[in-house]
Amino acid sequence: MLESQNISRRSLVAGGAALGCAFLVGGKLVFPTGQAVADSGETGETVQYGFWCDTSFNNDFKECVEACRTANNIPADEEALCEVRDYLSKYGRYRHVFTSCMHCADPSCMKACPASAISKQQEDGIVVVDHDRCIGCKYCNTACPFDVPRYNASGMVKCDACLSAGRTEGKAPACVEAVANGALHFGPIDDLIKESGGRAMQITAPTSPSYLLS
Amino acid sequence: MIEFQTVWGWQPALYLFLGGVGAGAFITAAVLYLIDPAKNKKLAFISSLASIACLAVGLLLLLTELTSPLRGLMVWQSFSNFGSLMAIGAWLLMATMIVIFANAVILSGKIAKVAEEKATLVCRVLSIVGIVCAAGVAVYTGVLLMLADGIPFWGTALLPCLFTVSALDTGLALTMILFQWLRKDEEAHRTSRIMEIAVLILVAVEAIIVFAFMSTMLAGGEVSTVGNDTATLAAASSAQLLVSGDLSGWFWILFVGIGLAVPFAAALASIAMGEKASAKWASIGGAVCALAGGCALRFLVLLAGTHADYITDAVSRLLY
Repeated sequence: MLESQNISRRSLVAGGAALGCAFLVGGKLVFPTGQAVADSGETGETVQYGFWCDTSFNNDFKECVEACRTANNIPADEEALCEVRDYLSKYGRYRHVFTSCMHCADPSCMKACPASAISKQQEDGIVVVDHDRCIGCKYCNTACPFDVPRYNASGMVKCDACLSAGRTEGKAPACVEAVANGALHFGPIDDLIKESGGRAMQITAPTSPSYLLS
Repeated sequence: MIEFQTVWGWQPALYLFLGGVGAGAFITAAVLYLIDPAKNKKLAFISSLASIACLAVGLLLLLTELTSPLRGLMVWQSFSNFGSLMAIGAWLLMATMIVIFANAVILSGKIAKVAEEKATLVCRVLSIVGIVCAAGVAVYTGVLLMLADGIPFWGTALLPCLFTVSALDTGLALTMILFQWLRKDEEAHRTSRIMEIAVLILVAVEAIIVFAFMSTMLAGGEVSTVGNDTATLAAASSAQLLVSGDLSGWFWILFVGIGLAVPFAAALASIAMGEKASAKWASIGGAVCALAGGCALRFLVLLAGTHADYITDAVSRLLY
């Protein structure tokens, strides 16, 4: 009686170990480490859209921030989805720099999100948040080199080039529509570089931001 | 650049601390149990309960910090991206709590059918499994921050090293307090001495790691070559906040002084006092201070973890 008990206990342990390994392997297969959306790498035909901020117009972008708030229904007590930084050179010259989300080629926010709520669109490279999945853990803010993600009751909010504001294809986001001169542009990054005649430079950071500055 | 990092506030700070203490307390108690199951069974049991309490409160704090706590409870969806350390950590924490709970149940002796030798064997196995899981939790609290790409100050393997040693240090402190409360004075001297020596070693190691961590960051941290200058600047200014800036009072007095120096001195005093009654109070005093310092460490590391400023860097390079 004791002998058969010993044997069955051993096989139970072995079986348990095998089950454990199967669980780990199965888990890795069911929950792959990659993201839901196919990556828009250099090899694909995907076009990467982004913003170009041309500071030479001396535009203070106040109307752009206002337009963003209106289009995205941001209450007055919440931060806008974009910001303007003012820089004063030693020669007394002001530069106003408008930024929203960098829609990075390699977004670290997407990798950091435990709920897979952040994804990068195949067709235009815009980084979007799924508010039905976001739990608001704020890990994406610690991951973003530009401190872009903000949070309200619905979770993480950031610029998505007015997609959730109902922007249709071919139209520009509210901020670009609001600007009277050519201070702010939105479009395929490669096209914008050509359009600037090489003046606009893509800023550098580990996540390859899709943002031009001139 | 923002003065302090405030997106992750007091709940994540306490969660990281409680995760560390809970993990460390279980590891300490489990090691003592493995050394002498008969003598340390009660301590292992009480420590397991304390450990579960710490981990559970930590998880609760984490949940309250979410904008959607109920959705957060749907763990199969909300922690499904195993490319994210936040997800891995959540599952690891849950698994660790289950192992510690199972260990506690058997240690309590409530399962009457299980004979003494079998129970000890199962508890030994669960102790070892639990030590591995708990060590994972302790390391994870640091790796979680290390992998946050936006914060140069956290981007070093020295941070998980620091948090792990701190977890052991604070966990040992909690177990020490429980031990002094439960002890029957005649038998406990040898265990007390082992724990005090462990305090000396852990505090010394932690001090060395903190020194290395601050030195590395003051020199500009460990950053990639892309956007080098701005991340270097951020790492250095974060470290300066702690070492000589607005957080330096808390850093030097509460963390280094009360959290490291006092426990070290108290451990020496306790060993020197030998079997006198006052040795017990030196132990407890040192342990409470270690806990306060360990808690302060998490708050300080979070507050100092500011973002780099790539925009200003780009402006200065491209426009001027």
